[in-house]
Amino acid sequence: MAGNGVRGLNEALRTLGLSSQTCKSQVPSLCKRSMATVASTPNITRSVAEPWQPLSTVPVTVFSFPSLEPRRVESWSTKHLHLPLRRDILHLAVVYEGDSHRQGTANSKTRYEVHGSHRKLMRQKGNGKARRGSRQSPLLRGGGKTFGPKPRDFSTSLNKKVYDLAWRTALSYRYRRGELVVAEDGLELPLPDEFLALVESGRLRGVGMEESTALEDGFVRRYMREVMQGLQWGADHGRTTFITGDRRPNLFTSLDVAGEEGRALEMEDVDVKDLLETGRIVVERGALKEMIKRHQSDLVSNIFVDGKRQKGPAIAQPLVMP
Amino acid sequence: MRRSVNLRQPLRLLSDCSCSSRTASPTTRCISTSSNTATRPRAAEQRPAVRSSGQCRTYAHNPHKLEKKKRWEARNGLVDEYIPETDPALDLPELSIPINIKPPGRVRLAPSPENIDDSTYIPAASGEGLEEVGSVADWWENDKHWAPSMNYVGFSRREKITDAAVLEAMTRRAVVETLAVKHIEGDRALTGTWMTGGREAMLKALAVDVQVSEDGAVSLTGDLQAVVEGLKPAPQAEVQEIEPEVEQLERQEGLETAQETAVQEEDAAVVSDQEAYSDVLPSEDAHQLRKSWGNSWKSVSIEDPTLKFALNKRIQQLTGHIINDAKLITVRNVASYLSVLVKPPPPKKLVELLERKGDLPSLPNVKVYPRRVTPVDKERMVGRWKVIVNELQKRDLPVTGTAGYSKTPEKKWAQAKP
Repeated sequence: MAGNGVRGLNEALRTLGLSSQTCKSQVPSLCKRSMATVASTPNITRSVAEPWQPLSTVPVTVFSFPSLEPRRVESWSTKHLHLPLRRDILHLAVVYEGDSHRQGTANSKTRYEVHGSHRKLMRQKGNGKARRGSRQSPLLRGGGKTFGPKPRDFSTSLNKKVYDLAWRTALSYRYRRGELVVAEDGLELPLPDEFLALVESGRLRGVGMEESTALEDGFVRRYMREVMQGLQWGADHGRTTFITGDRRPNLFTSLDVAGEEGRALEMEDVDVKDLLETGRIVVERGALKEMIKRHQSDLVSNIFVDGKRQKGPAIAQPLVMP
Repeated sequence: MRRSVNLRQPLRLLSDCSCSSRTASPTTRCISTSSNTATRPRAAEQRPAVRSSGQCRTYAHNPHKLEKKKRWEARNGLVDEYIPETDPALDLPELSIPINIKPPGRVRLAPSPENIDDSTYIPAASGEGLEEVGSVADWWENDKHWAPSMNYVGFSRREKITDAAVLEAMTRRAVVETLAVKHIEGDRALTGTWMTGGREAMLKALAVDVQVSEDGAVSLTGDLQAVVEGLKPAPQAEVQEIEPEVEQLERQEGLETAQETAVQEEDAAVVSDQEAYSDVLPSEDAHQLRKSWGNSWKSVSIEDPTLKFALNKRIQQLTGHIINDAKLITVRNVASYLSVLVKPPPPKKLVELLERKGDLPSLPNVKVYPRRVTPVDKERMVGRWKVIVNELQKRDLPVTGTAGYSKTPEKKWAQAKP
């Protein structure tokens, strides 16, 4: 009995030994438990020998529009376009924007603002009814409102550095999902020459149709639909937001007419919520640069230390040029 | 609402367009007549921001103004009657270019009731019972009025290739072509626009043998010159026809215009080339080729950004797949590129995912349906639905729904709801 006990202890110690531990990984995992929710272990460990080199830049392909031919590649800082997703910060920014967009013009009259005489309605005693003051009393129909809404400012505050981080987080989120398409400068929809010739000649507004834009709009709607279906960007693919530096006549007019395919925004009108809506963002290269430039307050500083100022990472370095 | 058109020379600084400043109403919409501007933005950048006052004009239909005034006078009783001066059908304005789309003709005016000789004619007092002739709102939705030349033609292949073997063959072709161009013409040529090429060009590229040595050096054996030549635009008869025009334009507007025309020709060549390229490699052939190549060629390194760009661009052109930049960050060689490229499209419905996995539908006691199993479906499964329908119809009761009657009130009482 005692011999059995010692052998058992020896076996137990052997299994705890270093040599048996190293062999463990080589044993085929026949008895490995399979679960429906099993997730592969991420390769997060690293040898001490190899130095830690985090990604500092990411490539951004610049496309021509509407052919979507890749024209060049630029290198953008990960602090601009490859930030980790922070839903909490995006939520803060969207709520902040929503608050500042509230009109806050609801207005009701108090008893002192309602028009009319303040004469006592009936005498205080002797008529068998409840006592009544003026007809502006909040208890009476047509009277003032107690604690009613008054115009006010609903806007809340958010630290600029947080808001700017949210902006870049939204762009990074789109980039990681492949939903950020950067187009060359001068993003505009080329309308076919045949249509423009018809418009110029006035053929689309014959006798009796001078005031009607039905024919022009009908053409533009179908043309826009064909383009967006060809690009797989249209209504069937979650619409598309186009962002340009300033208003582009053809693109903006066409998307006003065919709004089901997407929307177009000038850079000045864009906010974080716009970046998170629709299936993808198509942004002009110059507009993207400007947006990043305006929203990097957490990366740059105006304070000089040892004669140097923190200028933030460079925006858009050329990587592959035509 | 009046719409103004911005009649400017093509490529005149789009960002400078400020139609709203020229028009009185803020709701006025603008259409710029400069075409193909977005495809050639570099030319737009290089040009000076010249803008004369005659380049932007309102779109008010001056020829029709007089006629409009007359009609207004007629309507307001200032003149006896409005009669169009010419036959409207014959008076269509001429177009500057021939067109394939079919706009509607002029609207013809019916004669007024007083001018009709037929004594039995009684003008209709309401629209009820009259023939409907429709409006022009949906004119362009009719394919007879539309032209196929208006349809979108992009750089990518229109239909995505989904067959794994064909995708691999196309990747091999792209790898051979990019390496051949890099070898023969250098890095500068990798960023240019290449022709899609037909079946012959594809077979030439697939015939090239790719060997990767242990130190990562790649050696190509085959007719590389022919492969590179296949990527360049072939001299065509059409191009020669255009040439005299090009010369004229060159004389008129100088070198800049000539460059634009060259780009235009290139675009046209790409379009015609893509239309001709309708036959892809058959799947069986691709499978055989895949076996013969093995896996060694997939270790070709594409860490060079220019090479990666050229390969990715070519893959987009040949297969229609656009691999986004975020996925390309981790791609180091062809094998990792293929692992990103060759993936089945994501399932749109849960049932597609389950069928693809196959474990649940194969179980004897599990059935997978593409939609919710309704009470009607359950009756159908046991063959009782026909009987129910017959009995309901016999009693003149609705088959589904309550025919507008409310649900039984007793149920509400039993549940003690208000």
